[in-house]
Amino acid sequence: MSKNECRQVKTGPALLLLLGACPALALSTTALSAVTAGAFLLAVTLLTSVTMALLKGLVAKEIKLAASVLVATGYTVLLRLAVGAWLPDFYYAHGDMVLYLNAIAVSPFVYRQAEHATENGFGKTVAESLLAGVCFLVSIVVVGAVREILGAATVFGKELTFMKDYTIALAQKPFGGFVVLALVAAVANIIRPNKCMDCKKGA
Amino acid sequence: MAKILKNTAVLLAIVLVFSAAILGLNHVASPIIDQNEAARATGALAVVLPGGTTFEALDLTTLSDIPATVTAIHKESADKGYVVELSTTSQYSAGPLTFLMGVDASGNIAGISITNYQESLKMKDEFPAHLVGQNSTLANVDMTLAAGTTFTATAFKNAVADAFAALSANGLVAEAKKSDAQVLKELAPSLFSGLAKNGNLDVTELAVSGNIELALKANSGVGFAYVMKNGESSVLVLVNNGLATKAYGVDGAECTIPEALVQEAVEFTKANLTQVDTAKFSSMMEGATVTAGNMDGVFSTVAGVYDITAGGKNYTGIISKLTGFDAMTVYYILDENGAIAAMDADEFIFLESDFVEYGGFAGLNRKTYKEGFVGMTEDTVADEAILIAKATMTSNAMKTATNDIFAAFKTVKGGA
Repeated sequence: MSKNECRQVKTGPALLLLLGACPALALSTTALSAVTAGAFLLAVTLLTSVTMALLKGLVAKEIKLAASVLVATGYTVLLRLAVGAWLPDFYYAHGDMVLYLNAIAVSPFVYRQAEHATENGFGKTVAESLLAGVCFLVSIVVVGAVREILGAATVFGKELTFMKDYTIALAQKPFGGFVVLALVAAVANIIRPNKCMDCKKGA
Repeated sequence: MAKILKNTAVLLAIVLVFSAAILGLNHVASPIIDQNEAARATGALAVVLPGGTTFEALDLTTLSDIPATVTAIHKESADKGYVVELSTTSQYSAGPLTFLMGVDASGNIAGISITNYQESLKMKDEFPAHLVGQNSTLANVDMTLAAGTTFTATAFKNAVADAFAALSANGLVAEAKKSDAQVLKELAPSLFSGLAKNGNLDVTELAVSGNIELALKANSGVGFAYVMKNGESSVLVLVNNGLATKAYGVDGAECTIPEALVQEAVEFTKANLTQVDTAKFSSMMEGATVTAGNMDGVFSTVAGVYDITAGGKNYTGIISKLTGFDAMTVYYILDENGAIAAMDADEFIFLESDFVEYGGFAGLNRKTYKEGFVGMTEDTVADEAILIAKATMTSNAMKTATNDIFAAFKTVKGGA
């Protein structure tokens, strides 16, 4: 694992830096909505990073953030239109969640990856963005699954009968989102990889 | 300067490229998204009106007598029926209960789909499901399916009735005719309040015989209602626990019926009557002797009127049976002037276990509460003395019981 790739895992943007906490909270009421949000963010991150990597020579340091915002916003709108038109079941599966997908356009998580992209080559950018996106996806799905289990005694819509009498409705409310995210982040801090040689050398 | 221009150009280029891409994609995707939206909306409507393909939303402002609960009416383009969008609340709703109701061309409910329901204690799916197939008479509504969620289910049932009212008022669906028996049955709670719980008829149907077409026994134990054949027509005969009777026609007006019918109703009542326990009066007033009193004209929550003598004085004992949070039996002893000499109750509000279970009553001093009624007359009924903090339903029931016993006293004692 390279230094930067190791950093993606070690600093786990969603759980350790708490980047993208907005979608992580707003879009993680259930495991399935978390998968949708995670996949959407992964796609926007990947496309934005790749585009910024391709524009590396043109985008000056001063306008890096502005350019990232424009590119990320553009891809968010394009993806939302495409998914709305050709994947309607996916698009409408979670009710009002569609509104929150727009928030991904202003996610610091995307900008962070876009910033790295302007410092790296194309291949490295793809690898890093994929890894960061997948880490985010896994994190948000875990948060979503925990909230769904605690709040509705289901996971991915499947009923967990043994939990039926122990549900905590608060888990699916915003406050519950904060608590579950904090708990998952705490666990991630305990078990995160710390034996990466490259990281030890100075990551 | 050159750097600023270059940076501006780069950002402008990004904006232009993405704007063009969004414009192009929007041109292709927008009609598809519109179709998806329409299909989604139609799909929800078609769920409650099977076979429906396309729907047209009617302009409610051009229709008349649209109840507030009706938020939209969609007409199926091939005249297969209508879908009505409804929104209602009950007094304990956390938010509006919204649902779609499909009515086919014959005027029967084709389907019901709840779209928003935020109660923590939800009514069972069986309740809305059992309404499917019924017409505007709603003759077969079974409130027992809504046990524990009576307020929500009542609001739901009323909204369904509103939907039919809106459709029939505008000539969209023909109103089904209620049978005389149903009309009379629906009249019963307004004429004999003890037959109802939270506004709904709360009775047990008994096996019928002779001229009795429908026999209903109040679950509270205050009396009976019968739909009886009276020649070519039907009448509603009410009988209280004192075997006093009243008869009403389909128009809701009191009427006179042959003595034979009255006797038949009385005999049927005697055979099914559950005696009211009056032992409580003895504990409320030392040395009290209790005999059944006259109940003529008392058709409320009053389950019994008694003549009581104690200490050389005459009193009137009146028992009210009704529902607050749960079933309640409340005992009053009134003096000759119609002032309350003593009040007590058993079941629910004065049981120690309930004080523990229901925190709302923890601050209630039972002795003081009961004493607050002493001396109260019809003219001095004090809400503050009846109110129990954090127990609205029980407070309301106590208020009803108190008003009913004063009314009963006035009826049987001639306004003493």
